[in-house]
Amino acid sequence: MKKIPVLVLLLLSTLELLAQNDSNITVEFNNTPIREAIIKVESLTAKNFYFEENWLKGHSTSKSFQNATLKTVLDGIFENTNINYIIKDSNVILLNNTYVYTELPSDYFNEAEDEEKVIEETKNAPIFQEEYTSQTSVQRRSLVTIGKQRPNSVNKTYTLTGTIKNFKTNEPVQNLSISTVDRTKYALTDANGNFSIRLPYGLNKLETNLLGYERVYQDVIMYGDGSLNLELVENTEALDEVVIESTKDANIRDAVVGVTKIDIESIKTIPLVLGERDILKVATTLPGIKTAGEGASGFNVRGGRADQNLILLDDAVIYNPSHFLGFFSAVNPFTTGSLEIYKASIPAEYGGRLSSVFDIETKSGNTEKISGEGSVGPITANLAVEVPVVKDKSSLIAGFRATYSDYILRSLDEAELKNSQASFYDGIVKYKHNINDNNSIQGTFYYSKDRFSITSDSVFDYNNRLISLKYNHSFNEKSRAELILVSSQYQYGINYEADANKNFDFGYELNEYQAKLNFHYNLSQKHKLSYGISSKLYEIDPGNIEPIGEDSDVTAKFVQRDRGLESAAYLSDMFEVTDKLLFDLGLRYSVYASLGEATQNVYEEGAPKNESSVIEVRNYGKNEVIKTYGGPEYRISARYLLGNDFSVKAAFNTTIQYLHLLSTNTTMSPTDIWKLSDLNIEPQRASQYSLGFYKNIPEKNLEFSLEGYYKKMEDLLDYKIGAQLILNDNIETELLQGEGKAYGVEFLMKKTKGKLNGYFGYSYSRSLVKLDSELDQERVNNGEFFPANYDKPHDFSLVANYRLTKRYSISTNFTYQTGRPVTYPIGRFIFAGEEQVLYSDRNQFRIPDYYRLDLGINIEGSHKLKKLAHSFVNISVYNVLGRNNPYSVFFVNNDGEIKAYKTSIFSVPVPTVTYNFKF
Amino acid sequence: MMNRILYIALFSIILFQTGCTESFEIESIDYESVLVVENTVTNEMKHQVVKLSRTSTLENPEILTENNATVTVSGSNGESFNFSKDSETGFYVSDQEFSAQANITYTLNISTQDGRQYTSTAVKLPETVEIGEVFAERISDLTQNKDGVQVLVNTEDPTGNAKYFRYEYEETYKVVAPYPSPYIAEIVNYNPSAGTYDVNLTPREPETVCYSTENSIGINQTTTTEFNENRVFRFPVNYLSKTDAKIQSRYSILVKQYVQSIEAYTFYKIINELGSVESLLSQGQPGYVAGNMISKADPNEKVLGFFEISSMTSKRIYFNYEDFGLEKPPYFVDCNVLLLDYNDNTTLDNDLNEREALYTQLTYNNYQVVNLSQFTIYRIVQAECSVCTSISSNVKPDFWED
Repeated sequence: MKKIPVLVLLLLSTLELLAQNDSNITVEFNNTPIREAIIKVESLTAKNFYFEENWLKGHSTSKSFQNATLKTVLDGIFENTNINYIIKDSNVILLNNTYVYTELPSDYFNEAEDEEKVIEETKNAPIFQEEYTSQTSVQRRSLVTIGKQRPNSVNKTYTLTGTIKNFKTNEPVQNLSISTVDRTKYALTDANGNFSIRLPYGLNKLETNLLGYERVYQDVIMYGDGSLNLELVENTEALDEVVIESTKDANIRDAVVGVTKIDIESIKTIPLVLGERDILKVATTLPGIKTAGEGASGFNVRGGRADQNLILLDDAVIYNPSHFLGFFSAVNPFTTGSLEIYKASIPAEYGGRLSSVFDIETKSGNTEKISGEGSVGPITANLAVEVPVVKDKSSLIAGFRATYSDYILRSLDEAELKNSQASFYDGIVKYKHNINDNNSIQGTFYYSKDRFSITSDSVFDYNNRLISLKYNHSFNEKSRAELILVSSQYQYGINYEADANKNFDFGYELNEYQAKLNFHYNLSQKHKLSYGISSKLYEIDPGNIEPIGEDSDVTAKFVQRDRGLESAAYLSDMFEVTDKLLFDLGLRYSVYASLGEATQNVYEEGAPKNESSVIEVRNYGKNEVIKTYGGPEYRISARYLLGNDFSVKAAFNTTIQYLHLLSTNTTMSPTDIWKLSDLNIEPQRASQYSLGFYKNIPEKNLEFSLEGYYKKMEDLLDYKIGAQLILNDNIETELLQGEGKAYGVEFLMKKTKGKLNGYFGYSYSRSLVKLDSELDQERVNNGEFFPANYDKPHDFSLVANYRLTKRYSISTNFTYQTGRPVTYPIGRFIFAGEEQVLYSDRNQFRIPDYYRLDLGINIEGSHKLKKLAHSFVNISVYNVLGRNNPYSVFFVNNDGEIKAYKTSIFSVPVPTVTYNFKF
Repeated sequence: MMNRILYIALFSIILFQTGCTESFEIESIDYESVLVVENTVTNEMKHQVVKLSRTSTLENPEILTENNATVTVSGSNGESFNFSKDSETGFYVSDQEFSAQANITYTLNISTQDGRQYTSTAVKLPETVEIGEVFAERISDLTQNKDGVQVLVNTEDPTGNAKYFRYEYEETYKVVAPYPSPYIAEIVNYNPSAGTYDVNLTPREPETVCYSTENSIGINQTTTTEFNENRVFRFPVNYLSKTDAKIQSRYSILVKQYVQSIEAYTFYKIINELGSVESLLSQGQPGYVAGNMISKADPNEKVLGFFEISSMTSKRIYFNYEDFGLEKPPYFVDCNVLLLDYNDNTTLDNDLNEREALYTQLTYNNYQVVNLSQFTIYRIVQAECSVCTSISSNVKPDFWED
């Protein structure tokens, strides 16, 4: 057995080929198919030709040879083909390098010692659908060789051209991206399905990518310019999965640091709380995104406060994205297309919040046929429908979800529960219309409402209302624009009816209106610009209270309206310096003006802000500017590729926030007050440095990331001890502004596909606050850094899904977090004849660690193609270990005796069954 | 299946509604002995009082008073007043009577037995505002579960300088024993095996009428900053239920009004809020409440308390339950009057062994003899119902007006 590596063998064959000098041949071909030509030559030369007929199809030759050598003849025949040949003894082996290895006689094969690696690549049997990758449709094609190998290739790169067609319809596929797997080279197909891509000499791994089509992996060896035509199969079933795929490698390729993308389809197997599939809950299982606990709405992203997240639903801010005080998210999972969370590199187009942007986008409806999805769980029922309005042009998607818990409560005999209320609903409608290739419009309307009683004599309610309109226009291939008009409203109220003389009705309302104009301009291959302007008007009625009934002693009160205008201009450049180095340079300049009409107090400098230090009361007229704040915000990040599947990124980000949430609760609660910056309240500012390493192992579907960050925050809002925030005309007297710092390391390992998939995340992070002042009353913890309410250093989560068969899968979710800090009573004392509690320094202690295990079983309906609806049953058990995770502890002086209370939300395993269907 | 879903749903809602809050035993994690200073030096000429104590652990309800401290109040005019500990009350009382004067600032200095020194910021007497009207009213508000008498205050400040008020009161009420006991009973010649004994009755002057005085507890404050007029109007100071035994006979209340500075007001307010049940609309941020006392050696050492100078005025009113058309409320305790015959020494007659019961009640439960009939039948009742000094004092206060 000869042991010669394949590549060497190829070289040898060339040498042999050159050395060949055989008997002369005279033959004439006139548009003769090559196959016949070869058979003719075979008969003339007594050589045995080995080849695969497929290679020769469609090629013919018109040549005549007079006493030519075999070599001349073959060169002539194969002139316009990709076929090479080897003449060895009495055999002529034709080579279309695609199949060079497999078609070689077996003795050649075994000769190669190092050829294993290559063989692996070529041996890739076409796997059209892996058993366990759910509906993902993938075509793995065999190696193709482009161009003819020449002994003296000089070019470093060659052009591959081709046409991509729909396998069924034979129509060209437009806008399909064909790229190297590492995405350093890519091209798009034009209207005729044609593409052209320049690839380096040698082996290239290509993949295609277009929503709705199967993905094709194609390895090509470039020896010269050539063409490759592909036929793709439409893959509408796998639509959602393809969305995941499209983000594959994005972690490596993008310049942004600290971005998390959550795909709605991938979360469907995660165990649920009370049967609600919840995209925002899933977000909190990823490193760097935390909540204070169950039943806590709001997120703490990288050590930021809960108010520092810009949560956008189709570009409109959703102020309270949760139901039931945070048990469920208010975003309908069936209408949600994607969620992207920017934890560090916030695109320059977004602003107004310090920590993060949650960009939730509603799916565009199906423009071809009516389809829908629904679920029935123990708490809610949910239905989403997609309806084409004008076929292939416009469609409507609508989702509605509601609880029936109120109905259940009312049917109870138990008096205490009978009068309780707990209900919520949310609805969303999105309409999208493609006017023509260059113009499209879309509009979204969203409304959510919650109503529940915390105590038997009070009713809380709150609602969000969003309206969003977007007009997209393409000027040409390089330039496009978007005009976005949005309005958000958040309202809440408390109705208290127990003691006739204390009955009241309390209300809060926030409105914001925004106009935004975005431009995208691809200046050159290296520079891609985005720029735009936006302006937002806020109108907040921070509270009014009215007595209920004639007996009520409550005096009506109205806290003056808060108004402000926040505007910004921004420019960002995606600058590709080299294939490896990519910069994303963004600059945003924001300006905020606090507007009248209003009355503002001016306080004595250096004195605690209270009624006695007011030195002037100023009155401002309508739209009069009270105070302006503003400044540049830098959004800079860079990526450097360390290999095809390995990159390092760094980012520097600054943000300014003019709207603040005031809440002495640890978490967001419906009585929180959003307050605008004014004469006495400075905007919050933050700057974050981050660095990350990203590594993918595509063969194993593994993704790793390791990110570190350091964040500094200024003018964070905090409260004096015992602060009263509601219905306070001079709220600034209860507030303190201090600095904060947060730092941490986040590790995430993801297995995106396979029988076992899921992810494991760990983060070590700290978030500290410092409230220092010359004045004792304004100093907390001696003016030293102390842990923020949501500081949870260790955070570990594991989400895994194991597919037993096509129909059955089991999933699990395990979370461990350090308990959050609390201010603990450390002693008692007697004051004014009553026992009182001495509290520790603020947040000096921690509640016990939090851990929870959830399990779920998912059962898919039968895989029959023709059926009314595709169904899916999820059985989940939340908190399998029955861990009594205290959510908070508090202390009450009851008749001179101190009592401690702890709140835990789910201290026992909670089982649920949810039925989902899709049609 | 449906039932199960319902069950789960209900179960969850019960969790939401009721199962989420439970009380638990607290253990103090890190005991810190912190000096607690409570005092209000007023513009009354009297022996002023400073209360010094230490915080105790959460498990230990006992009050730890601070001993052997040197306490001095010094004025900016050079005056200095020393305080000495009153062994009975545990309070530090000024050696001489004095009153806080306007336009002088005062400082409290404390040095404790462990050698630490504490000082207050300089404080001056706030504006004096005479307490206005103190009056009692019948209130009946069943929705609030209130049916009885409300004591209210009106005060007007024509200067508009005083905005923060704190109220304390001292209530004095007559206690009239319903079953006066004219004898002291003594058991002699007790024979445990036979169960026989003799009762010696010594006549005495029955203790029928007594007077109890109680000080208010807790912090009761109001401010006029939220009102347009500078007045305290119908501010509720004390509420007495119509069944409250304190108004069984004559009742008197002395309402004391302290004018506070904003700093003192804020300090008291926060202490009060942190200790009270949270209402729907207010959730306070707990933490250490800094007052105006500071440790000289270590400015970061915690000292709880406030040196307050306040102008105090007071007013007393009297009333009886009849003034409000109320029925006589029941006595302080449920009087259990027993009629026991010494000669009944068996349970065979289907009632109790009265001789034995008489012995037990007189010996162990401090029952008193109200009268004796037919030489062996004793009428007895608890001491609380017969001898008022057992729960009150027979000294009639100097101010008392019947």
